[in-house]
Amino acid sequence: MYIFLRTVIDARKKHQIWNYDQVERYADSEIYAFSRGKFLVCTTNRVNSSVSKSISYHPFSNGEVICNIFYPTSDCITVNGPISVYLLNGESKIYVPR
Amino acid sequence: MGSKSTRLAVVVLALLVAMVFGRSADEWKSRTIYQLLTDRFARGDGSSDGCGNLGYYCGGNYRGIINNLDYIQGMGFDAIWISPIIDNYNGGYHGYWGRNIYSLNGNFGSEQDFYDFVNACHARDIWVMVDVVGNHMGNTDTNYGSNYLLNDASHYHDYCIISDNDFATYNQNRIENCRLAGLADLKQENDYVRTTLLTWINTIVKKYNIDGLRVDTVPEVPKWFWQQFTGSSGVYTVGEVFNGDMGYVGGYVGTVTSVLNYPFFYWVRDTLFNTKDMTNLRSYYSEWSKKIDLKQLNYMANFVDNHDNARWLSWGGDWEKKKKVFKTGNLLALTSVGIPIVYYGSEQYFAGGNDPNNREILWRNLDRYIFVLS
Repeated sequence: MYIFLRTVIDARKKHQIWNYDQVERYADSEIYAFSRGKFLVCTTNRVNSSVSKSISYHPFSNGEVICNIFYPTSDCITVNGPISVYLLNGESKIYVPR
Repeated sequence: MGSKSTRLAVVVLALLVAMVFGRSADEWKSRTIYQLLTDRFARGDGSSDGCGNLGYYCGGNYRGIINNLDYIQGMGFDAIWISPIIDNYNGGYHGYWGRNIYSLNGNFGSEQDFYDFVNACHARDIWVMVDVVGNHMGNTDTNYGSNYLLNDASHYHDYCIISDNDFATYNQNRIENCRLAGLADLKQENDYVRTTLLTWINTIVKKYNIDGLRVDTVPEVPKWFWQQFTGSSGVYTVGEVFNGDMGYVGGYVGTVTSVLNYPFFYWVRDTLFNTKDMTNLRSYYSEWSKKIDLKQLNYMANFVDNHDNARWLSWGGDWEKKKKVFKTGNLLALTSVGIPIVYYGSEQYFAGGNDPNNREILWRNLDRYIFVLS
């Protein structure tokens, strides 16, 4: 948890998210996602299963490479239209430009 | 409670006051706050034995915090909320039983230790938020003689106790004029009391170079007083309105600069812990928008645990599941609009129940945690 907090706080600072409005990007019974600038937060209440959603309303541009801050080298997506977000066993993801 | 436009005007005024004198509310938006209890975080002598009675002093102090700022800064925090600093009645390890408002609590170290603590924080660009009480003093009887400078019966409201029903029915007359938990209730409408408290807060903020204030028991004092108190402090003040009612909590925005976001605390905990529909979070913002200008959420402080509530991880259920939703809750506090606060011990999955069990000592794992937990 110590490392988890450090990872989130470092990203919060690096992207200065307090300078950006919060914009809801996706909400259903399983996932809530929002952005603050180019900082996309995806959370779920499903802790014992996986959920996968396609988020078409997001803050990134086609061709932009975005990575999950918790796996910044291995969980990356090249944006091309909607983003496929896969959350396993209750994990959260925060996507930012690489 | 006043119209939305009136409240907005008050908010703007409070923000301007903070901008003129000290750290502005806008500057605080960039901060990430670590809340600790001064008595529970670390001992200055480095001793690591336990604490036999969490309802009394355990030995943490300013020197202990100074020696372990790496631990706090290592997580990225750049502000620390500490316990009230003033002299307390016997047993007031938490700081909420004030006795002498112009003397520091010697259990936490000397005055020089406190200066050193603030300076050590500032040297690292860590801001200091001090918890303050303007509602009451620490005696539960009617003997006020020890309460420097407020030592006369005329400085206090007549004896009566706020009941659970008073809170449930929003009986503001009794909430503001009776005693919370039996504690001597200051009479802010007395001009001597008012000016004493306003002078005091201005003095200690300047004297110790304090960056912000967490204000205790806000609904228990009339709003007009908090406006004056915040103005006199010259810094960002975030007040405790221990209630999930957005209308009630939002009504205090601008009396203090802003408030601890208790609605966030309740909504996020309930949604995640009880596996409720995630669109609850959409509803959360929708409901706030009916009560305040949503821009005010920028200045509220988001949290999912604190010293007044059983820790989230103490709730029943599967431990691994709880850890997952606890992480998500903290992530939401850290990234959602607002100023985030993380309660000490969260980083080590502390799981204490009701007060005082949610006020554990932390020093037994100050050096081992990083390598064990992730």
